[in-house]
Amino acid sequence: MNHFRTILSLSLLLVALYFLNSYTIKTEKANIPPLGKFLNPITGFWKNAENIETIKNESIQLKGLSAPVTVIYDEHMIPHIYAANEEDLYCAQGYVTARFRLWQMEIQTRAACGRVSEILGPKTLDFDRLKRRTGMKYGAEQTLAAIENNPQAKKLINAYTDGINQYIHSLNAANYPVEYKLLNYQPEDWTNLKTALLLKAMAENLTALEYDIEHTNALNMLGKTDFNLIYRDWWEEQDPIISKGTPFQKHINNAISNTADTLFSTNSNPIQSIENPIDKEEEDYMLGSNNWAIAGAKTKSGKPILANDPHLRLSLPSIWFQIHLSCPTYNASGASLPGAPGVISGFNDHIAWGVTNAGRDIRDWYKISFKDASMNEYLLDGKYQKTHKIVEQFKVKGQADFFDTIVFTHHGPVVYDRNFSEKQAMNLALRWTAHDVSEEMMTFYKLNKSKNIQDYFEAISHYSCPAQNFVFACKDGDIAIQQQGKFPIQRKDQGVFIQDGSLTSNDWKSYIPFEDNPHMVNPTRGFVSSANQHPTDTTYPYYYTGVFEYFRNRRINTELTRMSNIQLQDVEHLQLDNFNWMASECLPAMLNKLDKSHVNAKQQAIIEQLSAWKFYNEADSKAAVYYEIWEDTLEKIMWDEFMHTKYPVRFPEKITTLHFISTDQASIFYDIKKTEKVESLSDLIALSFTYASAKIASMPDQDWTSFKHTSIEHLAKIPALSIDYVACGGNKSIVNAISKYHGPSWRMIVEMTDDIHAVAIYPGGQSGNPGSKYYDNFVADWSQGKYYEIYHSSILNDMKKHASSILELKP
Amino acid sequence: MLFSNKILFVLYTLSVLLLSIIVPIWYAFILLLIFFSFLFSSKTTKAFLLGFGSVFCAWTILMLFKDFQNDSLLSARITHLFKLPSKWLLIFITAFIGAILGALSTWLGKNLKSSFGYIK
Repeated sequence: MNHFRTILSLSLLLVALYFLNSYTIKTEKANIPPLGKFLNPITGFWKNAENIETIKNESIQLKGLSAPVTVIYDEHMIPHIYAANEEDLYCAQGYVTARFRLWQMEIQTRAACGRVSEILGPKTLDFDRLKRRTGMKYGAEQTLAAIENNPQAKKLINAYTDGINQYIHSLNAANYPVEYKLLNYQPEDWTNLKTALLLKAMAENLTALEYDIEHTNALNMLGKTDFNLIYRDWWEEQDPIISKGTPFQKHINNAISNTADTLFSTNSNPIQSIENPIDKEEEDYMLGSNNWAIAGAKTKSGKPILANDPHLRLSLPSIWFQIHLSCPTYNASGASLPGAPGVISGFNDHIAWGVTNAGRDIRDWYKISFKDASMNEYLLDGKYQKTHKIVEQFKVKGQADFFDTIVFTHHGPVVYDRNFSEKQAMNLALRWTAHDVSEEMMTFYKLNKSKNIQDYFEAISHYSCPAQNFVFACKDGDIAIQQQGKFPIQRKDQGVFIQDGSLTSNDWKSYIPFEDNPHMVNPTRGFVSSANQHPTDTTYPYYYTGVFEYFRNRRINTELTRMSNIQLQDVEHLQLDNFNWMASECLPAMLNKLDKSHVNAKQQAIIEQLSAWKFYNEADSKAAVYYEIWEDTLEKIMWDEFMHTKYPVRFPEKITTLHFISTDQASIFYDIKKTEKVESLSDLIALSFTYASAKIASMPDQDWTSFKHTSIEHLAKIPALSIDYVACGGNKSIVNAISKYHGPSWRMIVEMTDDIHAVAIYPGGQSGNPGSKYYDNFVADWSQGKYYEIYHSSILNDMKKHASSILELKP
Repeated sequence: MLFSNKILFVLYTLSVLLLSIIVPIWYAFILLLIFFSFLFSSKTTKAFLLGFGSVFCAWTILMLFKDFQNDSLLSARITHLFKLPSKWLLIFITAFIGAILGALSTWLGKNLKSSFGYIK
């Protein structure tokens, strides 16, 4: 009898413990972690609730250091690391970064190499497969091999990885970052490959904006004439990075003159891309960045000023981690990527540099003709070539392992084939510069240590992907910009469409030499700048294509031309500028063509507000809302042919829309297909205004910021860890490029005076821990356009006056 | 009866608290309570209530301490995450979960005593 009760109570206890410690509750929306394990105050989330008051000085052992390292945290929790040599410096950078951002580092690299299903289960399997099929891991392995071949680079990356791992090994279940607890898994060791993967993830983030598949579909839909009308390479009002009229040189002379042998002429079946087309709302101008350098001739101090604000998806934890790295051979400060050593956008005692995305198309798709279903051989110039295959293993949470065979051709991996989806009618291989051996890490290492313009050019010569516009300013007065990356030499239209992969004549054969990449040094106009526009005018001796911006750059260049006697505060104002250049060209045309004779009182009020608007998307503007709704409506009815298409096509760019609004093109595109009538431009303007004013009347009265509703989401898109609303002006295509989910992810300005004066801010906080007050403490100041002074002294004792706490790392 | 209920309750609660601070295994208190209950318990109800109450209290104290230090930054987010109306409910649910395990532990301890201990 007594034994029965013992057994009963023991069983109940074990069942309850199992349920509370190990049972994940699966719901439609999310998996709820085992409740006891997650909630308990001993090892659960409560452990991540940081004390908001005390910041203790600490002393910790870090094995492998050659000498003690001192880390000073300033009031913003920015670490200033002082080491005896570069290896110690990188080891400490790895350790300190991991302390703040471990989960972010791991999830970003896990996503890059297609290993998310290990923690989230089968729903992310297709995501993972596409990552491996596009060759992210393959490219990272190539890059890592190059890094590890260079003894110095290998030493440094090993030190960085070692620092991260020493932090990981110091953890127990109680102090894992809270996301591990929420998703119920454990951190794994960092590897050099993960650092390489992170750089490939950036490459994907910044270069996946190509439309070969969508263009091919559009070509089938429109025909060549209309295709060329809608998807133009160049509009004359563009103001390129290298000012118009600058002469170019061509250091190699290979005749690539035969016209592109694109697939469109032989293939009439458009293909269904597996990837869903991007939502209209965020298309085209999602990513971008601004940077510029102003020569001393235009500044009050007589010294150059450099500014950089990369626009990326806004996230918590932020993509950037601010850091200051100092040792006798090194004193660099700025934004780092958690998971990559060194500083990516920043300055040292001699120079400053910054980056914007080049936007050029360096991803091409090739149609592969296999001999048979085995996919062992494919056609090339009339003969069959052998493929090679890699079997990728996917661990899937709650399910048996999944195996996927990826076929490689000389172009690269066959991303879409019947292994991926049985519906796939066409086999498409991807050629992408991110697959190639590259040394991006060396570029940043060398930039961090550059002293002059020669060092800068040497540093960026190592850089291939993702292609960037590297802006430069030096204390000695030099300013420069170069669009740097590995660019294939292409025929006209090569890479715009899917190409026939069975002809070697379609292959990339050689690359534009480094010295021919667009660059400009100390121009007479007194500044260099880039904002994702075309790098050059049409006299550049090499063909290129890509996704380019037409508005921010013209505002920046107009302002920089106008300004003189410039101070750092003036540059802040330019970074925060909310002038809507697109609206300034588009709205007058819309208002002009609008028949105002039959408008009602409410519509009249809208027209009056719009007519009085000075085209600034300030947070409290109402006219900005009216314009946005009207322009969006007009665009949607004008390009009705491009909405809800059977196959994904690229929605026309804003610049094209602008041209079709401001000048009557006598085009069939004005016609709304579903109506009997053949509409004209005036009809569209009248109709869109009717729709838009009805929408405005039906909405609550809103200013621009509440209409735009900028959010900063947690990386796992968990609303409770995100910021739902940030009050701010700006928009895409505006210098202050804060849209709903994207914006200036880092704002930095550096004045190259003797004692460098630098300010910066980013929309996040240094800590990745949602239980820390440093998780999102910069956001309010960022949204209000404030900046923080960057302390950058190479002398430890000077920095101590800024210390809020000190961490000693002992060997 | 060696100790009064009040003394036992304080002993259990403080021991669970202390253990929680020292050992980073969240369910370590189970063994402790089985042992205590084996030593001290005589009645089922009393054993059950002591286990329930002591863990409930110890966990609540731990949570309140953390929450106060943290200015409720994280508890507010987790409350939002679980769509609960208030952080107090989060604290109550958590304490209740611990308390159930506590009660089952002391009940088991008492039963073990009946099975294997010296019984008059």
